[in-house]
Amino acid sequence: MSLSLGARSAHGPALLPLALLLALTMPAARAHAYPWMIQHGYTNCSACHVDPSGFGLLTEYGRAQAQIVLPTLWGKKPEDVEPTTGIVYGAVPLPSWLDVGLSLRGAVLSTTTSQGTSWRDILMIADLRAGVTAGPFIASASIGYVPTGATLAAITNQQRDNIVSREHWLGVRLVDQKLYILGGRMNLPFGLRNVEHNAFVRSATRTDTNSAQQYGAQVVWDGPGVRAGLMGIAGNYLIDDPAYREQGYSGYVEGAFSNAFTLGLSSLVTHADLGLSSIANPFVHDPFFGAADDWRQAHGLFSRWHAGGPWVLLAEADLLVQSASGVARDWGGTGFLQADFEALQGLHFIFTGEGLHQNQVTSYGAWFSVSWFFFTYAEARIDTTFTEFGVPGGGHEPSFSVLGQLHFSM
Amino acid sequence: MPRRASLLALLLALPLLAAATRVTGEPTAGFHGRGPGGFSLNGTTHQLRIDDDGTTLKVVVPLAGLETGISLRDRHMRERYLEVDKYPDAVLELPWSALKLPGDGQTSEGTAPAKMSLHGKSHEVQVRYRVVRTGNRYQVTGNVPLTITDYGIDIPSYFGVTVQPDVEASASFTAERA
Repeated sequence: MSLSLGARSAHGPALLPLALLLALTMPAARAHAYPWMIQHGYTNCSACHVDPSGFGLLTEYGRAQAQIVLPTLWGKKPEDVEPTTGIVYGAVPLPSWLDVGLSLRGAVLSTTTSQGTSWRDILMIADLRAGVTAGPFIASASIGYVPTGATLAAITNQQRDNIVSREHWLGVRLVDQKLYILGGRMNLPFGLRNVEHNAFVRSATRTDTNSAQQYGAQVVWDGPGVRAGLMGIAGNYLIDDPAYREQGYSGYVEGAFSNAFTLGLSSLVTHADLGLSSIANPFVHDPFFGAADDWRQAHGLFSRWHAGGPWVLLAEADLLVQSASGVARDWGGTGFLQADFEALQGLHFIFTGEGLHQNQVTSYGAWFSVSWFFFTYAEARIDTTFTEFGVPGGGHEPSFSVLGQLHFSM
Repeated sequence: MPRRASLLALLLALPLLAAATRVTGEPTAGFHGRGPGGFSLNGTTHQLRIDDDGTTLKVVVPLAGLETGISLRDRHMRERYLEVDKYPDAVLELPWSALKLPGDGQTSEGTAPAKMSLHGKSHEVQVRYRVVRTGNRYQVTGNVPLTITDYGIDIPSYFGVTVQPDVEASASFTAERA
């Protein structure tokens, strides 16, 4: 993932914009994080996901829902589905204390800028996930392979062909599974946990589910009508140089005002001795990269709304503030608005608009995506993204990308 | 002869009394249940009728139309738990004498004893209600806390998620009363 470029070694900010753009537009880790499940009245995530804030490994109940409500059923009625909770389409049964998931996602990406068009094929994710429940104790971990990218989650230290572990944490859940106390490497609790990790709201806040996880301790409340998470961030210990590790907090609180509408508040403050490079806009040199005493803040609102029928709206707006020694404080913001239209079960037409103001320039983009869960545990997706990246001194650099991908899980 | 005439008049009047209150607009009835953590479950139907014999208001909700947003769950609810084929309706019987009806343009709220019949069993319950009156139109909302095991309904459990036995049943409708 893009954040990792130059970050593990913390050298060499002068990367080619096109290469950065390729990395930026490389979606990954989209398995099983669908905020539009509010369409089915799900305002909380923990029934379906081992991570109580959503994403990744599915519970037994989540695997059943993945067979009932996610895919196109090809003439079969949803009420006639008999879900199996084992993996590999039920061929491998699992005990109730064990959750296992395998996710494979490959893609072809075309990116066109004023510098030309490039093509590449990508193995975006090849992760094995497992979770164990023993009384009040829970643990979850993932391990996978990526040929390129995601180096912030890499437990090996190669230029390419790395082993990654995006998550590994353990904890307890108390009070009828409403209260969780977790420790380890976890997704940052912030904003929408949307699948488009390269959306500005995820890349500019560095809260994506691809490789932006951090080590720390987290308290999660998952109660009726309210869910919240607060994580004390100890840093990403997969970054070699401790000066680049961020410490601070990240959290959210979200209220469900009905089973069709939620509104949440997020906040994040981190400090690092030296600033990491951000490539939310690859055409701007990040003045905070390598700057001493780097403070990064993001505060905002997010909402999920089942507007009716097959329509779900997702929205997020965040204030961005960053400061460092010798660098003028930067005030910015980012926004995201997405409409998901499920034309028939499993077939989603997704319309997204987004904007970013950071480092004195403004960028905006529009996405049109089609996501088709054409069979149980199988998704084909195409994203067309047009982005006008702001450039220093005024003007914009246009970029158009088309990404086709296949995702299989079991 | 006059006694016969009176009896005849009463018999003729009974259907009129029974039809004296009728639902207008789209009613809503349903339930709200909870599971582990923040899991919640809402069932909704727009099928509701009322019978009024002048003494007791009977609110009848056909359960076959209850929907929770996931059709397989609806099927399990109807077939395994509510057994709608055998017990098609939920019925709340509420004596008019227990209700405080508001004057025109006013609102009344309160709690009233009633009888709830569900899944072949009946129990006394307390109904929290709110009535807004405009002329002869009454906007009524009511809630009844229930423990489904009291009605012989098994506790729903599905792939590791078990619903709590205490649920909140609710109804809202507008009625015109002659």
